[in-house]
Amino acid sequence: MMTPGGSGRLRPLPTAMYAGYSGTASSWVAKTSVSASGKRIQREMAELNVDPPPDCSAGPKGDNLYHWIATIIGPSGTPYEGGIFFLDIIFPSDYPFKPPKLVFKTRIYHCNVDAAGNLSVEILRDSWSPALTITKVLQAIRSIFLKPEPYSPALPMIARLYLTDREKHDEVAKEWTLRFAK
Amino acid sequence: MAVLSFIDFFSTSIQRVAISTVVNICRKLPSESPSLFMDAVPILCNILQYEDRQLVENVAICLTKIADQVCESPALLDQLCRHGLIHQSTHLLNLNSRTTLSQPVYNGVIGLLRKLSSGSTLAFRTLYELNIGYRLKEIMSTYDISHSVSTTHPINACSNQVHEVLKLVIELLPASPEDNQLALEKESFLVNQPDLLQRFGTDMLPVMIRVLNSGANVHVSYGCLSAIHKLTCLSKSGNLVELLKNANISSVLAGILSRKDHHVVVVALQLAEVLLEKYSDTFLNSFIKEGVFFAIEALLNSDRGQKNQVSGFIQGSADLSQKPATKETVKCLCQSFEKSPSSSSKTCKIENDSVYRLATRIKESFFGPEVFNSEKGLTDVLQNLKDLSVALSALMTVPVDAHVLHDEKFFSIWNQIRERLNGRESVSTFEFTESGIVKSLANYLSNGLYQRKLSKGDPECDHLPLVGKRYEVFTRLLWSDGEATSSVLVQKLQNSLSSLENFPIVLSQFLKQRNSFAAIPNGRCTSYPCLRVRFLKAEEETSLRDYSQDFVTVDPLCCLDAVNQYMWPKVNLEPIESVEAKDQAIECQSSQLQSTSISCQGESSSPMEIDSVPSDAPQSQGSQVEDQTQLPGHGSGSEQENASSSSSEKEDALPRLLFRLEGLELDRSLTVYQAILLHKLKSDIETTNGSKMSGPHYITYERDAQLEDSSENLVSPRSMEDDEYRPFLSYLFAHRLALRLKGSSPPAYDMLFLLKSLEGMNRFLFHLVSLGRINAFGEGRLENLDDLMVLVRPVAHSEFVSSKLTEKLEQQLRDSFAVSTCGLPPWFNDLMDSCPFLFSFEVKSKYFRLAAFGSQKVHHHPQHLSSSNVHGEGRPGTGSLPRKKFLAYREKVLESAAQMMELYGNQKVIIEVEYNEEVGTGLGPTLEFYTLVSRAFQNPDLGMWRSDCSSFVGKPGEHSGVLLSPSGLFPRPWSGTSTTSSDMLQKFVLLGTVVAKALQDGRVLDLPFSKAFYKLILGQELSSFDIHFVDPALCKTLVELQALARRRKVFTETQGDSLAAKCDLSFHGTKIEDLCLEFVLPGYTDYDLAPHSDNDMVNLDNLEEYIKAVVNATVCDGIQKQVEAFRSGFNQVFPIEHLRIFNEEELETMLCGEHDLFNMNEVLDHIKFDHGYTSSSPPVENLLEILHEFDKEQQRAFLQFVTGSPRLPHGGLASLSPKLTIVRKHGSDSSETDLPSVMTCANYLKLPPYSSKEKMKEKLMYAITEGQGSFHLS
Repeated sequence: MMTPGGSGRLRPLPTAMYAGYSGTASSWVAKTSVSASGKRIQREMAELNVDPPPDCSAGPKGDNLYHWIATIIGPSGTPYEGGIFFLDIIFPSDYPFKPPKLVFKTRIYHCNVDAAGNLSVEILRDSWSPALTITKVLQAIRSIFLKPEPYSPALPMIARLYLTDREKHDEVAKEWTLRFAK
Repeated sequence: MAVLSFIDFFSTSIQRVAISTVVNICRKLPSESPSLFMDAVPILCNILQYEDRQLVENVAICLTKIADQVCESPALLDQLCRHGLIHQSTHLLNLNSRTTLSQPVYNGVIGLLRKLSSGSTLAFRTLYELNIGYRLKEIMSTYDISHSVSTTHPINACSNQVHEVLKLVIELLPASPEDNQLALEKESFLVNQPDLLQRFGTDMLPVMIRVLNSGANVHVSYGCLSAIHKLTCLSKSGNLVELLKNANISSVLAGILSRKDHHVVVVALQLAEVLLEKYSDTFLNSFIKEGVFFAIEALLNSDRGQKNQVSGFIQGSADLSQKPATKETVKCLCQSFEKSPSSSSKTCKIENDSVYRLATRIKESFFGPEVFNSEKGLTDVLQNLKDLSVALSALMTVPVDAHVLHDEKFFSIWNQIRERLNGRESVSTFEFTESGIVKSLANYLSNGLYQRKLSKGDPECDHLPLVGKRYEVFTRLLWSDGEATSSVLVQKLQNSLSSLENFPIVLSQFLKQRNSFAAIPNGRCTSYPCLRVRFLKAEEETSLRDYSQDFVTVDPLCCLDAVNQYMWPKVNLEPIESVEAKDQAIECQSSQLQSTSISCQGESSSPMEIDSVPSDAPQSQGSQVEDQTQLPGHGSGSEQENASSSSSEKEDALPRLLFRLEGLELDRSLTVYQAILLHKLKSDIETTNGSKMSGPHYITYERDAQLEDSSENLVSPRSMEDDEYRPFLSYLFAHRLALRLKGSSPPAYDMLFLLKSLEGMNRFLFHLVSLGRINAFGEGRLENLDDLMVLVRPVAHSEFVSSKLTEKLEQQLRDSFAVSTCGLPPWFNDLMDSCPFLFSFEVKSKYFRLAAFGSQKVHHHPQHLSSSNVHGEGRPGTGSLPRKKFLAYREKVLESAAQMMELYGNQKVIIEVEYNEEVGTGLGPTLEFYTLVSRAFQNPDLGMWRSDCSSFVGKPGEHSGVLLSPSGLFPRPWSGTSTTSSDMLQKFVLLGTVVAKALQDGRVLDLPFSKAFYKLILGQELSSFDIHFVDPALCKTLVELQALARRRKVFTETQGDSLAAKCDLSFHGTKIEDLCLEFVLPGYTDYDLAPHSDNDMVNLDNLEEYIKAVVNATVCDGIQKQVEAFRSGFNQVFPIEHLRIFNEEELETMLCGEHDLFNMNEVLDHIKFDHGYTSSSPPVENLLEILHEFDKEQQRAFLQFVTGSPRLPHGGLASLSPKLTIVRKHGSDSSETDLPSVMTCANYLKLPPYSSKEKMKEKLMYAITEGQGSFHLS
């Protein structure tokens, strides 16, 4: 939806749902050489392999270094326990000056994740800094599993429920986890 | 009606009968036949001026009756009000009918009221009882607005509305000394009813004082002053004193006393005297504080000096003031407010030495000896400020290397100053200026640089970084508590400036447009009078020949350079071949130019017309030149332009002549007119008239000794080593204040410089503050990188606008001579160059149109287009230029645009677009074409712009093919080797041309440029901090990295290298190396950032280099070529330099129209309803609701549907011309299925009367979404 002009160069898209942004990103990749922030990403990949954060794993989806896929296992003690959540990670070409783009591919009932899977996490927006890495980002996401941030929600409805009726919220979240993430 | 026609011939008693007959007729007047009684109105009005009271009152009743009859029809009412009547007219005034009444009519009504109140006590009383003061207050307070609106016709300043109001006010305050019956009656009325008078005073006084403060127009200020004077004479209540005190009358008076106009000063003195007499205790102190006494003293001194010299001077000044009264049509000021215009005595009523006498009297009676004991007479505040100023100056002598000492001292001094400024006892304008604090501050900040021109070898250049540093410190201090202090300072400066500056306005009502013949420089007819100049050889000059002994006529608007070229061959002693050839060339050229006109010229066909008229008869010269032939309509400006340009090509190394006027050298870059004007003005009063220009001038010439190298050896601070402050300093010093200004008024120059500094600081606030933070971090004073984040609150631009100067420029631009010939006094140009922020956007736009496109476009202000434009369409600036049709192809918009620009780009024509295979033409398609072009430029495939590659927020359904750049369009960096570049550069050239053309034609473009790109267009340099407007995230990181690099540098300098690495040089806890940054431009890896070093990764050692390279690529070298291409394209239409007077926001408004679309409050005011709709018919209400519900995208679509352009021009809906009109569409029987249709050219929306709102919304949405992109008949 953004660059139909460049669509001729696009590779087949993984899913129709998120065609827009991934299309843009991969068209950029096609234009720019891998060397751009490649070294940085490679380094992060190595780091991640050596010392992965708990319950998380991530790696390139195919041969494209800028398109990763990550999994987070719902931490125990939360309504998400036992669920396996898939995320798409797109690195912009000017990474690490810009944050990577993370999208949940698995549906999740969480006040910081909107219906399309986009996250509302501060470090992925304004407080992004090149000092952060994908490892830290994954850790941050895992931490919102443990403790949602209802005051900067993506879905205010869920946030409200979370604040007012925690039990009901947990119940729905558990049900969603059961239904979509297992 | 016959009764009325012959009424003049009847005796008084019969007249009365006749009038009552008329009254009776009027009572039964049929409303269908207005013309009959309209005929009678002028006669009735005539009668109004008769002496007979009864008659007059009868007529008034009669007129009221007529008005009653026709009050249904506004048009007739207008007509009637031109002759007017009191109840009706006060009623009119109260109804806020100014929107419906035209200006002259309105003025007429006020004028009528004035006449009425002067003629009848009844009216007088009624007016008071109707609380006229309140109404008048409102009129006065819209003074400013009305002023910017009423610029269509270069009307005589006297006839403007405020003037009328003031007349009325003065009339309402009877002068006591006059022993006429009426005045006495009125006075007794007022005495009996003090509350009425008081209410009047409460209403009027503050407004008048405000007007007085801002108004530069002498007439208006004179009027205000006399009104206040009368008011104070009459009033006896203490309330008034309170009012006057609150309004700070004393400072106003002080300011006025420093003016040069005779009459104004006299009235001001009278007022001061009355005040002192009546309320001596209250005003004495404030008079001292505000410097009224000081001003009076100064007046006395100057007068005394003149007296000693020649007592005849007074006589001379009397001549000055009498001359205009007798010879010229202009009335002396005091007469313009006279009750009866018939006053036969045309002498100035004010005796010449009255100023002196009054001043002495005041001094003697009120100034105790202790007051003028100069030291004691000063207030504490003044004393204190003076001390501070001295301390600041003393600081200058401290060696510049002692940074810490400087900082501390400056800090403490500034703190004291600030306390004063914010203190309880406010600093008066007088104290502020008199203390010299401005001068010392300016001096300190610039390290004395502001006083002189920077030249290359100047040792002071080394101190530029120091200057930058001082500014940075000052900025930090000034903004340490928000923007409050700085705006106080700006306020003070503005007040002082307006009380100090005395830039003259040159009105040339006398120089009528007439054709005359100018022998120099190239013998041709001009459409304005010529100057008569006698060129004399300088006495000691031997190498030159004598020129003619007679007077020659000179085109006042040619440059002295051109004169030089003309003169040189004629006076040169050594006749060299080449010179002769050149001579011939010039002759050739001139005769060529002449060929159209010379044939009819009769007696003199030589290009040199020696004026044989004796020099003391300038009148006859006028008559002689008047029978010259009419020049063809096209402006002489262009002619002059190519004449001078062609000759300047030929000559470069020609020796120069030095021109002197009365011993003073003339600036060569000025026109003859300006040069002489400038010279004259040095000794002249504030508002000169053109009459002096017609007198003969003697200009001596001599050979210029040194061959001037034309390049100004102004060093731009660009050459500085340390480039941290560069953009700021180059902004500050690049358009330096012309030193001419300094010569004329040193204090004003100081003010201007400090104001400019403040404005610069304000503009670069983010830059300077960030820089300060970076340094602080570098030096370890800041610990956390997060503290680098700054939130700046700059002072609003509007605070820098000087209302007085704006007003003056307005006045100047209304002068027909100045406008038609671009002959503005030089100080306007200087100020525009150096301090454009002093002027309001409206005035700047006018000036810009004048400067860039010539005279014919100036007056086409949007407000007047609807009436003045016969084409029934038009946007600002359409004027009377020829129109060209152009056939465009929808499929190939950019190609069409390129073709169009190639054809018409550099011509002054209005382009009208029509599309291939579509019938529509006119304004709508043209606007749509520009919109389409704008959109085409944003196609990401062109590779022109940066795009935010990480922004994935695209909404579904957004326009496809348009790239996303949340911070606006900014050129994408391309390194020199790129293959696509030539094609892309071509696009930038085209873009420049399109933008320029759009500006010229007043079209609106839909191109969201980023602020940084506007800065580039304006010719400013960009710095790393401007990346903020391009890519905020990148900027933030860069600033942090910069701070790190800085810290490292400091550590390396102060301590050992080994230690530096150990200190906290981590980036948010990560080592720079661990960031794994590659030495490439983020996001644009194909950009060649640096000659490849062996180390490809960024580390602490090359961090600084890396940052510089990235900044350079992003905002400097990487886009340099694109910007140059843009400029070259732009310059094909008109020189881009003309834009420099604007700031980024203003430029955006010019180019893209209003930022916000319509808000619902104004919608109703600016939409017309017609043909079956009124603003209350249900479909219209539905429509308005729908519009209200639309989101921004839908509003844009709606606008595009109706007007052809998705944005509104500057001024919003109000300046749409013609107005947006909504009419009922009568279609087939089933109106429900019809779609709305539009006539874009007329901004006409034809809306079928749908039954329900939902239906309408559905159809409307369908129309605005599907109807885009073609024009067909409906």
